[in-house]
Amino acid sequence: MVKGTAGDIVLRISGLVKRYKELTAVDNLSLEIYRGEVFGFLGPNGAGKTTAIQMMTGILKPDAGEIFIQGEKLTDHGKAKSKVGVCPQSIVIWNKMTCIEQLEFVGTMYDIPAKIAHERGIQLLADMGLLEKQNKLAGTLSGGMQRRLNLIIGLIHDPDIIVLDEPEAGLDPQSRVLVRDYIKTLAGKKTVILTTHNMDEADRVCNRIAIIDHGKLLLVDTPENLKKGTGEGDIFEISMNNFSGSQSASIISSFKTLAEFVSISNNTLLLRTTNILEKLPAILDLLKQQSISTGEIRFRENTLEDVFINLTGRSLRE
Amino acid sequence: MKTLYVFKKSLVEQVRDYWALLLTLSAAPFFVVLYWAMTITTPKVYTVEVLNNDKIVPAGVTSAMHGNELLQTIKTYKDASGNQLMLVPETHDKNTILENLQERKSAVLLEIPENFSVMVEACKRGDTNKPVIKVSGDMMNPQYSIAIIYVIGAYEEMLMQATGRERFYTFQEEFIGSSGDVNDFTASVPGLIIFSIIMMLSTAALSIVREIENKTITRLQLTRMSALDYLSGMSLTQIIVSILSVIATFYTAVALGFTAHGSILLAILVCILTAKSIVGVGLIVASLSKTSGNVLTVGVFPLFLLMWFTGAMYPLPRAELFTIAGRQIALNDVLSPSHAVIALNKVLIHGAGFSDILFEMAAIIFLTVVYFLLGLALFRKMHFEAK
Repeated sequence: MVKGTAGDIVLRISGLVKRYKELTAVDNLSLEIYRGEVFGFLGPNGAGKTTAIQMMTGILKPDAGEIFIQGEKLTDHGKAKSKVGVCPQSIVIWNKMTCIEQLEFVGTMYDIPAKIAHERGIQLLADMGLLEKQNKLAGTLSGGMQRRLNLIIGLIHDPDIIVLDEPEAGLDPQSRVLVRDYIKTLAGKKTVILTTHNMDEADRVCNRIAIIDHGKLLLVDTPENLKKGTGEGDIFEISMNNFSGSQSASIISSFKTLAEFVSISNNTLLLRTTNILEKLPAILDLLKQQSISTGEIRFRENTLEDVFINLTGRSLRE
Repeated sequence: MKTLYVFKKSLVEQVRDYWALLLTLSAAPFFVVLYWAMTITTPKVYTVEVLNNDKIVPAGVTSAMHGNELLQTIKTYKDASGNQLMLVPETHDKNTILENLQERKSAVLLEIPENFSVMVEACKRGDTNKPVIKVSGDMMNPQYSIAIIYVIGAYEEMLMQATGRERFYTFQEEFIGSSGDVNDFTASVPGLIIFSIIMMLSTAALSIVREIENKTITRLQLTRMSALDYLSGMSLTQIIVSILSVIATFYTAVALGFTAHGSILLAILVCILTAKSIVGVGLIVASLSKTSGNVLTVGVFPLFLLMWFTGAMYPLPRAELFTIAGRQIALNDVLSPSHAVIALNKVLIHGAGFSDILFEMAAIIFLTVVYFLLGLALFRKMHFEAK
């Protein structure tokens, strides 16, 4: 994967704001995205990801702020808009058109000659394993195939920036691997902006990741730096057999001196600490004092999910 | 060029949705068949209730009972096919008769007074007092106005026979164009053809709203396609479907006995222009809708106006507003089918030519441009520009 440099900015967002009555969906968002990188956009439901993406693609108009694509300001009628290709989260296809027909149609709407649109369409269908279905009506394809078609419709005009909104949602494992590999082949040649709830996916494919919540940008960095930044040490996961919810507060407070981060989720105690193996006997002792018997004990490295939960909290969103 | 690609795409989608297309194309011809069955296969009969109170003239003077003669004259009236035109039921209870009039089971009530024969006899002898009959009916029942003419005709005929007097006036009737040969069905065909075009409103709006509902419009919004490219392409398909519907409606009517007295090509030109204007109204409806369900609710209002306030379904009084270049402009002139119905009537029934319908054509074109521009502006604002 080729990572872009700060001198090679393809998309610059400055002071972006979008309000819906009382709610500020995107709050003073500023970002720079570099040529050739895969840029992850992470955030809980309602964090403002889709609103931000829709402004970047020209579907929504910001209340304040500016967006520049390859130095050109994004407007309703400018050319900047067609430099972006979008794969929406929901399946947006024409059910009564064949796969190749809709690729050709969208291509011609971007002023691509019909012959070239056809050739590109065939190539994209082949890349997504849909070549045999080129003359099938899109409405007759399986859900997974429709998702793959949904992805390539946004690429028919060979855009410099590709926005993929949850591209792996609803895909079977085989299709997921295919799409992931495809995104990797785009990296370097194209700039990919990716939104996902799949932390593993983001960790694997993204060069940089932005985490937003309540419309604000919380952090932006490489996955490695984000994981390092969340704290030193590894994570302990200890399953508690006879735990009751009323013990949460006393357990968490008793571990404060031993671990940098303590949390309880689904009867599992999560601790992040350095020298984890040395501290294990003391941890087990403390649990025994709380009359907790332990089940499975696992330890692992920090993940992007830990970073995400650490930053955005555990409370459920609407 | 993009308009042509949008047209091709929408035509392909329309053809592949063949059940919907078939229903759209068959709706108006089906309506024509239904209307024909109602007007042609059922003879036109007017029920005339009679309360005959006439008393025989005292013996020695004459045995005439002119009330019965009047009844007989009424019963002898026949239509062009030789069917009895007026039925006289055997009811003698006034309350039942009034109920029948209210429920429109009967067209008119004729009350013959007790002294009817006496008065007719007196009249025969040169008395200046005239015999009186009383008629009652529901003015809002269209059958009443027609039945009353026949009843008066029968009354006049019976009086002339009974008194031996001749009618003191000569009556000359002249029909415009071919209207004299026109039956109810033929007279309704121009309106039915316009009705078939009006029915395209929902189809035109739905073809666009489906794109909004499926969010495919958002994909197109990101391309270099303009709202004008899109709406022009989509409209072309709907105009073609409308023309097919008009042709199907027209030839169904021809198969059922309709004869056009003017140029069919001119009539089709009127229909094409009207179809374009209805598609324009469809664009306005689509712009104000987000779902197919919305089309059905938002679309009801213009559909109702176009069907009932343009003369497509039945002739309407003109609520005149002002005059332009010697032409009185009425409230319903803002609806293009009002002009289309007049133009089609002139062409198909009266055999009028192009110059006779210039005003109507100009009005339809003007309204089409207004509807389309309004639809375009609303569509841009509601569905195509970034919000």
